[in-house]
Amino acid sequence: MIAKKICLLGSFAVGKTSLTRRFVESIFFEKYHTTIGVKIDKKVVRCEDREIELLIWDIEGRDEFAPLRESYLRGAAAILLVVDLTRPDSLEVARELRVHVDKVLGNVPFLALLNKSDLDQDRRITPEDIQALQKEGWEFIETSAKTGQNVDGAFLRLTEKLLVNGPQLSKTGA
Amino acid sequence: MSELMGSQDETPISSSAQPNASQDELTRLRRLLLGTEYDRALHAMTSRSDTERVAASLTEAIIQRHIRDRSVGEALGPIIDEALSHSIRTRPQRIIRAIYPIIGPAIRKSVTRALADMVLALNQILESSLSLRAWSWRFSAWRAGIPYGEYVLLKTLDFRVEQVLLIHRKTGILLHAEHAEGVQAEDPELVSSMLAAISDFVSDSFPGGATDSIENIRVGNFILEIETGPSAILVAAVRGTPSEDVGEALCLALERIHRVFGRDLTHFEGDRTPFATTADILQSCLLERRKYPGRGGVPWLAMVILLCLLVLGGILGYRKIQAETQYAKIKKQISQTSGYLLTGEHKRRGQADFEVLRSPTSIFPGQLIESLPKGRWQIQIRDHVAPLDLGSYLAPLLAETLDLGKNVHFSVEGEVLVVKGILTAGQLERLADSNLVKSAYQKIDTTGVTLPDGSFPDPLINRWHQLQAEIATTRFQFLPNTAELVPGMQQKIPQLLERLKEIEGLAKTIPVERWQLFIIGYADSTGTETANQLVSEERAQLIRKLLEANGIAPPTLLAWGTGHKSGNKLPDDQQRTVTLQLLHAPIQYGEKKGQ
Repeated sequence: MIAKKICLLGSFAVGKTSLTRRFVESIFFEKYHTTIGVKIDKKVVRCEDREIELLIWDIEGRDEFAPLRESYLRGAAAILLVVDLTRPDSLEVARELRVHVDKVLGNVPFLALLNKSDLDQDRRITPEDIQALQKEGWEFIETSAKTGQNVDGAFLRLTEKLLVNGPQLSKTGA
Repeated sequence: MSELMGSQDETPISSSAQPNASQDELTRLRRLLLGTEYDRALHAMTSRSDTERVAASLTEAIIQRHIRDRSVGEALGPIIDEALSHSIRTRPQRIIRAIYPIIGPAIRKSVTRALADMVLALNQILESSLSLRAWSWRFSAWRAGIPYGEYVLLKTLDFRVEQVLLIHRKTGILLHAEHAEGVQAEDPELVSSMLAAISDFVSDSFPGGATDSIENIRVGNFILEIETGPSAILVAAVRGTPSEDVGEALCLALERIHRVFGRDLTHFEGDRTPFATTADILQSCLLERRKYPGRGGVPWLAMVILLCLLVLGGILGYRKIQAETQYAKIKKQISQTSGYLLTGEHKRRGQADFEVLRSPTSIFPGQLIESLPKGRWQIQIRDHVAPLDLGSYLAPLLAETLDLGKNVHFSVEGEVLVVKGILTAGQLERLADSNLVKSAYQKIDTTGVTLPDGSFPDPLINRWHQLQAEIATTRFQFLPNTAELVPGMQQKIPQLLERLKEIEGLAKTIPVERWQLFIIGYADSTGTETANQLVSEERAQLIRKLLEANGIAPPTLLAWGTGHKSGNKLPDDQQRTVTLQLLHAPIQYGEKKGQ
């Protein structure tokens, strides 16, 4: 069985840990716990008739006081950039993270998740913002760790990308 | 070169003239350039078949492909498995011959190792359970609230490498893990990832961390010994305080892993399959050192206990074998007993129960048990008597085995065997004591038996028959043509009277009912038949009168003459005679026995 390391990156409180728990354990907690350092989980997924063991590194949310530790990214095969669709600043953080990742890892597959889709009435990120990034090669999936919407699909899509498409994060896209 | 040589069969393929011309030119050019080498090379190429060319390069091709991706082993695995299975099924002897030289030593080595381990384990168990120190430790473990086994481990263990993890340095992915016997590994994938994360964290967070790496981490009773290489990290989870040996073992193992798997580590893309073969290397790191390493001496206590156990086992085994042998003998003897058919058996704690179907002619189970070699066994025989047909089997059998003669007749009334006919006392005794009769019938009725001779064991009856015989031999001879006794014959009369009086007394005592005395007169051959008849009657009547005159009064007293008895070869003087016969009703055997 092939094992792959993937990293979840994003601003603080965008739902990285909730997405991981929903994916790995199929549960969701309303209460917020901030992640310190990194939390590692694993799950075996089946993709294209192959079993892949995903080692999911849920890395602490980035903010001005907690810069991203590059060493955590080392050896990652793919990246999930998590954005809170009610917080436009989280999209900006995602953009910065992508640049950072590009420098550290080079051209690795990535996927952007617009999380908290269950809070659609509070959506603050506009379609224009998304379209602009899509033109740069970003792929978005709307997810909700609370309802489970598209969570499994998002991880599966990332697995497909890392298996089929190979590296796709280009420096020019950053 | 190959272009210059061209195809081996290119020359004759064209039918047109122009291509042939160009081919010829090309061939000439080749000969000019290569000289005589051209012909030799062409010959070498055309003379070898495809099979030969494949055969020549097959081994190298397999080796190259194996080095490239190891797919040859995966492809050949199932084929070899199937071929081996087929070979074992169809030609087992060949396989046996092949493995025979190694199977014996392998078994011997295995048995020796197992025995040595058992003695060592027994010694450790005894030391850790019976000694004063063991009881002290038990108390301490109880006081500390931890299991005794864990306490013993803590007290006796210097260190033990319980788990070894090989981690890909760049990704933190676990490549392979090995753990000591009896250790339950807790999700080594996550452990290895977290270790990589911690290592990264330390490297990022502390001055000089980027170049230095963590060498160990202490967690409770565990120390994680970490050996970092260029592409892989080797982590040993050690219980206790590890010696330098552990570090050296890890270092050597990591060097070897980098040397053998360097290419796989460098180009690692998540496939951990190649690293399964690191198991041997990692196992070499599973070191252990105890504070009481067996003391290097002979484990006397274990040896003594083991010896005692062996002796005890030997005694019990011998007794068991002896009992089984005895049981087999008993069973054999029962089976071979005439008329016995063993239908069931059960043995339990010295009690042997047998079920038999037996013939009425066979001996009783009680008698058989007496004759059996019982040994330690308490024997019980439950018998079922097989029914026998009286007419076709039992009667001839009784007559033959008891020597009853032919003058006996048997019949059955319910559970009673009724016997009629003439039997001697001995015959009656044998009949009454016959196991066959006792087994088959509740009672024997011999009231219909007549005892014809003097062989009775009863002295009165014997006397009766003795007198009866004497009377039968008494003869009175007469003068010719008259009913006058020969002189001197009268002297027999007092003796006869005496015997008859004794008979009368016995007849009342025994008793004998309806006894009768026959007096028979005979005549010689001279004279007419009528005269002979007359004279013979006169002679008989004479004796009768004599008896009556002397008070002899049997229930029946008959006297008659038979004349001359034709065929009588006796002399005439002996033919002129009177004989006596004492007849009586059958004597009741049972009644007489009771007297």
